[in-house]
Amino acid sequence: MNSIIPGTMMAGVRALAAALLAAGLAACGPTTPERAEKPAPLVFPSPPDEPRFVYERTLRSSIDVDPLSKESELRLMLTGEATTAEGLVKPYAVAVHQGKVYVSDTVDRFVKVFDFPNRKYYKIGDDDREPLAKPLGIDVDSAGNLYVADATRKYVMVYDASGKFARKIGGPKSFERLSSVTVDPEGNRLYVVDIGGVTSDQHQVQVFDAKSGNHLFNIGKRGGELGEFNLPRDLAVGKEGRLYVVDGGNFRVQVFDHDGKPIKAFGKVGKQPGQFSRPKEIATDPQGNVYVADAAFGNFQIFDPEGELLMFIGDRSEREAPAKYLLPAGIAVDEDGRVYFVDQWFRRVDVFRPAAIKENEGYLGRAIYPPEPKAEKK
Amino acid sequence: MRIMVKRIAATRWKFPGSMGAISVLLGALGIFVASGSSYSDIRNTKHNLAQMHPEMVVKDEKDICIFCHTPEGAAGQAPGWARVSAGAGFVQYDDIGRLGRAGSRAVGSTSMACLSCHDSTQAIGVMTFSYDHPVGVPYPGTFPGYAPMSGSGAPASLTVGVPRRFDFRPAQVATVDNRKVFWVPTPGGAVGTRLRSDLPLYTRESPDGEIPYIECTSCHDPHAETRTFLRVVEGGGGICLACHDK
Repeated sequence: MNSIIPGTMMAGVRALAAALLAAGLAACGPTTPERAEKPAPLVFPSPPDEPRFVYERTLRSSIDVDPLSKESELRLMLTGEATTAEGLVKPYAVAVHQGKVYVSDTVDRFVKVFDFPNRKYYKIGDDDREPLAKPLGIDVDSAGNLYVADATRKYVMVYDASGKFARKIGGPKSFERLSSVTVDPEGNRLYVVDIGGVTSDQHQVQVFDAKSGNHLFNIGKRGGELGEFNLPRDLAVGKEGRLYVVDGGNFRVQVFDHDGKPIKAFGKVGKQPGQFSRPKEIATDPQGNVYVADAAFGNFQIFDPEGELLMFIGDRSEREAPAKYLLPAGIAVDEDGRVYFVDQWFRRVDVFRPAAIKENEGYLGRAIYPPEPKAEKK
Repeated sequence: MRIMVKRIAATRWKFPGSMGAISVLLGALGIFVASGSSYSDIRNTKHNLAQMHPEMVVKDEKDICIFCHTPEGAAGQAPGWARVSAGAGFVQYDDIGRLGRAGSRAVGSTSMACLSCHDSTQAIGVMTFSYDHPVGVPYPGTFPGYAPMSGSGAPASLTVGVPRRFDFRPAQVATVDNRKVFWVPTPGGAVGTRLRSDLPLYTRESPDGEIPYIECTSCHDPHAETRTFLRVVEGGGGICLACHDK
């Protein structure tokens, strides 16, 4: 039988079979983003202004960093048995180190790691002896050590770059109501924000030696004057080592020098650009610009180091879409200027890339689009 | 009024202005103020976010309201990198229960106002959609004028995914401001009149018309001095039995 079928006909049958198979696969297989037609990039600010940022991607679950293996894809196709992805339940804060994205989850009680360079997803904080109870603010130093503010345990938990528990700092006697921790890039000083709570006077930033855990000094007390706080929430280290503190209940960002001396404050209550309603976390970029998340506005506003408004990104929406938010909280800017913005309601992290770099540039870009290996010369 | 003054003195507050202004404001917003029920003063609650510090002198009573009700604000900054149409202002969640009404630009229910602070940092966190906090869901009880599609107890509202249930007490409905206002009456309430102790439901548009939703503020009154800000404080599951007919 085979022998009497001409070669060309056989090739035709093979092509038909391949086409049918491809059609079948397309009909029942998942559509990968590569196959979908790419929509026009979402840029900010919108034209005719010069674009400064491009919406790049959204992180929701382990599948965003650890795609289904070929094996599990085949299993899904043939048997319908799906490999379970793990998602964010109630994400709060985000921190990034060289393409590794850390997200604290207050309900799941873990810090979840989207490790793009190693293409894997894992959790930090399920140590039997030192479990995380309520991780809120998080930060990473330049060596990759992770610092987690645990509001329930009232410790700053420290993990090494591999995610292994290293030590804890503070304790119930030190803090009233922990909300956030920030480490300077060198990993020397730790700034721990005590939001205090409504009925407490302990509204301040406590400064620790990050290595020894020794308490160095405190910044601020409860009040409304310059250098005083009402419900301080988060801190970022910016240009020239300045400290930018979200002073939530006074609806402003306060600026301190490296040693905690107040310099100035910017922002006030209101719904207009440059004002604050429900300011949450704060971050600084490599140029020293300051990013402030606001849960009520559903956006983050970007200020220059002196507090002059540059732009804002995000809108409120009950329907989920890129740059649409209901309850934003955490924000981080990585070494390359990519912005990571958390929404507690939509359980996701949006990533914005500076328009000045390409999608395959920077730590995250190189991890997701690894450069092609150069052809070997013969 | 005398009670209020006494309370303020007890909490070290120097406060110009009067409660009258607040009542007028609430009246203007279409909120029913109960007559004859005990007065609640937010200044004595944990929702006074400026309390407990003698140094924090509140100069204006609005300075307490701003923690949840953001004023429009004076002229904002012109962003250096972007053109912005003047005077628009950022859109917020609904903080006074007027979602979807003419003139309201709000996006997101009153529950979003609560959750914007109740995120485990300054105040206890709440996991929405869990069994103990059903917010942003349609009220499963019936209400006057509601027409079930067929039969008794049949799922009538597939479009919102919530079958009508008859183990929920019927809601009341009235028209205020040309819009349906829904609530679940609590014992002692007068029929057809919403009291502050009644449980308000929040109107939303749906393919079935305007229907009532449960939000945080259905059970909690953020201005009340009751424990955990509950609207019904009697023991024996009073808050639950206001809606559940069990």
